Amino acid sequence: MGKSIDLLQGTLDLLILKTLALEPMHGWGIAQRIQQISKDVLQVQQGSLYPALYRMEQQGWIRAEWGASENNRRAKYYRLTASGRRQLERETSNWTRLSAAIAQIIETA
Amino acid sequence: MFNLRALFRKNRAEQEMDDELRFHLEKQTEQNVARGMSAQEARYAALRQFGNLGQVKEECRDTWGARMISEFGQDLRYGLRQLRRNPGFTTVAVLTLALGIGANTAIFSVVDAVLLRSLPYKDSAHLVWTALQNPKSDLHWSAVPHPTYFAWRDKNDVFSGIAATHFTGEFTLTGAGIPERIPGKSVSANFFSVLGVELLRGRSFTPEEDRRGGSRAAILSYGLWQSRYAGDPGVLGRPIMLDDRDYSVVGVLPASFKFPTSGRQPQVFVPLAAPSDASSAIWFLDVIARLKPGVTLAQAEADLSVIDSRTLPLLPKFLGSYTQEVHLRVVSLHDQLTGSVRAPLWTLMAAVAFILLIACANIANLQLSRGSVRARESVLRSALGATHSRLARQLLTESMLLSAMGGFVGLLGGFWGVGLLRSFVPSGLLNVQDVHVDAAALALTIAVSALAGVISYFAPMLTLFSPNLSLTIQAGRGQGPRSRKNAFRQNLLPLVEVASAVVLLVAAGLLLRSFLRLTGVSYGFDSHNVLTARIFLPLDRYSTEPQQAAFSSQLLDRISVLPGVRAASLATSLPNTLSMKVRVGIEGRPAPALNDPAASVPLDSVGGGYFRALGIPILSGRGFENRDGPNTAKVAVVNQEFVRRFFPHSENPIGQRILIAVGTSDQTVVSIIGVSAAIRRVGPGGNPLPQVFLPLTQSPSDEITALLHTASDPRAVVPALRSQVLVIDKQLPLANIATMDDLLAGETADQHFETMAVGLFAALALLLAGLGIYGVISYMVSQRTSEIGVRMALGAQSGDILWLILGHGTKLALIGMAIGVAGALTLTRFLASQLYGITPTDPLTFITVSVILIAVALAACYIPARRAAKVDPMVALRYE
Repeated sequence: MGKSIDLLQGTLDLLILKTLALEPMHGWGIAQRIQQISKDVLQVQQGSLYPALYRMEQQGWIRAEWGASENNRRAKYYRLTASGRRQLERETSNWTRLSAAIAQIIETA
Repeated sequence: MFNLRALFRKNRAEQEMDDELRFHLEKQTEQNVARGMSAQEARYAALRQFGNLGQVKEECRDTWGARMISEFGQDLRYGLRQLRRNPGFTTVAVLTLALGIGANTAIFSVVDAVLLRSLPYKDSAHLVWTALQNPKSDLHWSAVPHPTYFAWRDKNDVFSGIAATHFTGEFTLTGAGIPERIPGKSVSANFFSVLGVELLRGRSFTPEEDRRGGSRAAILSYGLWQSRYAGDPGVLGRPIMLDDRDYSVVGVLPASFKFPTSGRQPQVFVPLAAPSDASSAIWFLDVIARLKPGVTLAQAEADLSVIDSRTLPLLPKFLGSYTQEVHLRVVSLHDQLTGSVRAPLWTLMAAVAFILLIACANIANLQLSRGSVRARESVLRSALGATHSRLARQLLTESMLLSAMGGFVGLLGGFWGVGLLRSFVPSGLLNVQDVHVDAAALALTIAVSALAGVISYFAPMLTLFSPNLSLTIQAGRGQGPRSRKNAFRQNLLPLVEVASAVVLLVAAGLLLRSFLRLTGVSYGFDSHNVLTARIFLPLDRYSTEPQQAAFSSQLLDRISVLPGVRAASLATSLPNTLSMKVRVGIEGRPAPALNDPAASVPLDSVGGGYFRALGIPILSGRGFENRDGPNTAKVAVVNQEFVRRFFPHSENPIGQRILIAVGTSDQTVVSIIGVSAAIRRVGPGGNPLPQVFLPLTQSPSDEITALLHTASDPRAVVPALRSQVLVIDKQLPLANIATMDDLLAGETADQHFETMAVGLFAALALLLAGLGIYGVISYMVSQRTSEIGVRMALGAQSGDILWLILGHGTKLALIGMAIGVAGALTLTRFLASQLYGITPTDPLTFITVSVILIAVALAACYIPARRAAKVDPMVALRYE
């Protein structure tokens, strides 16, 4: 396991949105997925995941419904709403611009 | 209700959060076990990896409150936007609600002040009124003879205090400044302490003063203290002249004091000093008592009855039989003072509550008429993820917003309405001056607004969740299935409204026309520009008839020549009031039987010029002249009604002789010298009565009324009249100064109030009926938009469409009107007794009401009809 990096402020929302864009998922799954895809570089603070989910649900970006998990247990699944999809686009383009700008500074300075 | 649900929701949310977090921890634990940890280890590790569980829960919970608030904010903004987008609907709805709520606020303010608020006395719930009730008599409440009061006072076990007051009427106040007649009362020494009233200055009467022959003491009202003594604190101990007797001021009442009476507030109080000897003249007293704690009205009544049965034999004989005929009653003072207005006020309250209900139904109907639009919107929103409860909350927010606006406007209307009501409510009620929109009325307004919001919320709610909703949407254009049943339900409300508006309008119209007849009726004399004022000659100085006659002729001479006075006279009573009745007979005929009511005839003494001053024509013979002096032959003028009754065979009455007070020791004989026209007596509805007039010079009186017919404003001659009276006798005040027109207007005051109240309700009903029709026609137009589009595409002109819609509305109005007219014809009979000069089926009233209603109905249809006529066929058809 390599060295993990703490998440930048506000980045968690983007990661959650992106993860949910693929398929509806429960909270634990979201945390696992982020960790897997980033190859353990990004370690989601499991505790901070849920307040973020609740907040985003309230914003109307995601919707929650109860469903059955892989091994048939009751779990709360989150899915992206139309407005969440738009939010994802906005945040993605913001992030791309930000990382490009930072990369430029690092390379030229 | 709403809060409880939120609480319940929160508990469910809490449960779900716990479930969700437990699931997470279990998954993490499983994963840790899969990595080779022991079960125990895996569990701890999972908790560690998760972080502070309690804090996470708290952060999650925080979002809920914020969500409720932000959703409410969204709903509010959305609602406001909706209302702004439909200014017509919003204005109509807010005004409808404002009318209903405002009327409730205003009437409740009166009910609250008059019926619900306690009397302005300390611990007033314990104050009672004890009275003797004669079930056979029209006068339900009669006062208590003073020996009964004394027996109650000395022997009862139920009162902590019992006090009495005597109807004293007026005092002549002389001394400083011009003499004045002021209302006064004599009260027992403990009167103010039983009421629990503290004097502002000085003291109440002592028991010594409240005894026959005791020193004369007086207590002033705050108003009299201010007006007569400029609030001088040194007034105590000063002498005050009442009815030519010296009293000494011992106390001043506070400004807030109100005497428990439904009449004029007395301004000066003197000791009761009732006779202590039961055999002397009987005084009738009003008795007020304070119950001991825990004693009920029934117990008090029983206790007093026992006292009565023991003391009755001791009462004078005639009084014994009097008290046997009456029932003893002990009622709360509050009931006694408000009894006569309780039923009418509650009726009024029920009526305005009903009006509010109709207003809510109207809003609901208007909402339904927007239902097709709303249904599409609801489906759209729920497709976008809004839950049913969220949609319901949105509708409730909107409904509440509407009713809050209505409540606010209604409150403003309520303030105005209370001012209006205060000037119409009978003024004698104790608390009537305190009628205003207070905290209680404000609370009621808020509660009523909220209730109105909830009530008018149900109709759109039902459409939202009706099984027809999916059908509605499938139809695509938001057209609900147009069944016969639906149309009937839609049309029922405006039909009922139109019908009830017709009934109310007819009633108001009949009362109004009746009132106009009443006030326009000729009394048979000229009341215009006539000033009247009463003069009471104190019997100490005017004890003999020559003294009284001398005063009258002197005064008449002086006021007849005042500048601006066309004609002046004096009379023992005014032509609109009851005069003394005497038994009369015609000389040469058998004396009338003692109990023959036809022989009892009103009699007035009048000065010369009486008939001229009031413009009453002398039909034959002559009126009184200077030559009819005390030493000449006794003469009389009779009116035409007298001639009709006593000389039915057209005998010539002139020269006939009348026996007055026939069969008594005072019997006199007078010759008829003239016949006057008959005038109406006592109230405009009253029929002319037979009447005998005698000259004041021959039968003088100690109570006379001056009548001055002036060229212009009669009030302008008041100072001149007063100074002429004072020249003759500087101790004499003028009382009851009023113009004849005002006195006659007072007689129709009750009818005036009734007409105003019914008229107001009728106007409200008319408005609501108009709104009802508007709602239904709007709904119809919104439903038939595409049909109208097709018609126009096929060549219909907008004029045709206009008439199509107007026709539907008119049909509605006509059916409602037919029901209403039928209803009115059956109901107005009950008004018959209150009508004057017109029948309950007065055709003009019915026709006028019908015309007004049709006009309102057409106006209500016109707005949606014009909208329909402007439908663009392309736009209408594109929706298909």
